Amino acid sequence: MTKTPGTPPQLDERARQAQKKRNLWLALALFGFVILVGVTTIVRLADSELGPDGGFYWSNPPQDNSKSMPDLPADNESQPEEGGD
Amino acid sequence: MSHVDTADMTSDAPRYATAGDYVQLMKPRIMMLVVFTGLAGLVSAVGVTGVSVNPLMAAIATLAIALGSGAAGAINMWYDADIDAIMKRTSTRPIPSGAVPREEAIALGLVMSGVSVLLMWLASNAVAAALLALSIAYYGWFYTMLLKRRTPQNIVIGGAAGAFPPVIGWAVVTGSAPLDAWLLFVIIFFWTPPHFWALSLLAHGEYKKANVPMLPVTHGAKTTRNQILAYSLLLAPLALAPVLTGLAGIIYAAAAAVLGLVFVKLAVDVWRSDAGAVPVQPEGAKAAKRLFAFSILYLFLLFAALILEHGFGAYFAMPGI
Repeated sequence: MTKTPGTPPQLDERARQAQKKRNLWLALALFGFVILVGVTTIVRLADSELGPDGGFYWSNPPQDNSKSMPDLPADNESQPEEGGD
Repeated sequence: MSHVDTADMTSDAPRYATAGDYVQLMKPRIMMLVVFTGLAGLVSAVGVTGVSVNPLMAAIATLAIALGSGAAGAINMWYDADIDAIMKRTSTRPIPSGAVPREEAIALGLVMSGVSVLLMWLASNAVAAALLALSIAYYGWFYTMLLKRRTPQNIVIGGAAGAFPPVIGWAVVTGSAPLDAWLLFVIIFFWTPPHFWALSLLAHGEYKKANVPMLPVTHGAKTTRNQILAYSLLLAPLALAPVLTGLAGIIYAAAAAVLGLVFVKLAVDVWRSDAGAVPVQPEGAKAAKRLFAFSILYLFLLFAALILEHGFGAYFAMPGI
């Protein structure tokens, strides 16, 4: 097998077949890994607790803040009485 | 330490690697025992603690244990390619036979290490993943690179690597490793020396040729036979320890007692024989072979009893415990 710099090695037919088979197994292994990670993620997320509003996301919930804010007391009521005469 | 170039190991006819060669790199027979003991730890943890685990996650965690074992095996084959080429028993392995280049073996080992630990973490928890990573490093680095070629105690200390799986299996369920899990660890730890030394009595000439300081090479066959008997006498009662903590019930107790007696009997046979003598004595070799073969069956049946008790509702506590 001769090889010049910059050119791929010349493989005979048997070597090429063996390489093809190996590549196929490698592809299957990678595919299997992706599927396993995907399945694991789905199962783990399905088992996890949902957000307080029953939604999927805990962070940045799209909600109307004005509705969820509690009513504030009026200004004159909110001032605590300080000191005394 | 020098490693011979794999090009020197190849025969004249080129051999092209098949998928089977890469499977062989992962030491599938060891992998089976590792998976089985890991599964026993997992099933026992469910039975003892009552914690349920998603069956699919348990299956993926078990697969991660198998891949971790394979990764450690590939790293071991990469590092030991030079001595594998010298010994007849291992000369047909993928690297010395020229089917797989050493670089591919270490690449496979490292990638699979990462994949197995990641999968374990995803499917279970950080404790199980850390224990798996530790066991891979223990076998692939500590035993293979530091112990094996340096000390005749290589098998004793290195045996811990093969003892981790039930602890990992337990941690998959509970996220911790309590005393019961470590009892299973101890059983495999004390099982490994008589198991492996029985084999090394048969192949001590090969180890000597490869300059590996196995006990029969450094201290002789008689010392090895004494050590086999000593470890067997320790193993038989230790295997009953899970009964005392309530981890195991009547079926396991009966199995451990009977199997332990047979193990000790076969160890006594080896001790009384001239196994490991030069030139090879057929009777001694037969005794060592019997012990080696039975030791595999012993561990399999012991852990099968645990799976039967906790996985199939056959647990009946020992009266008075």
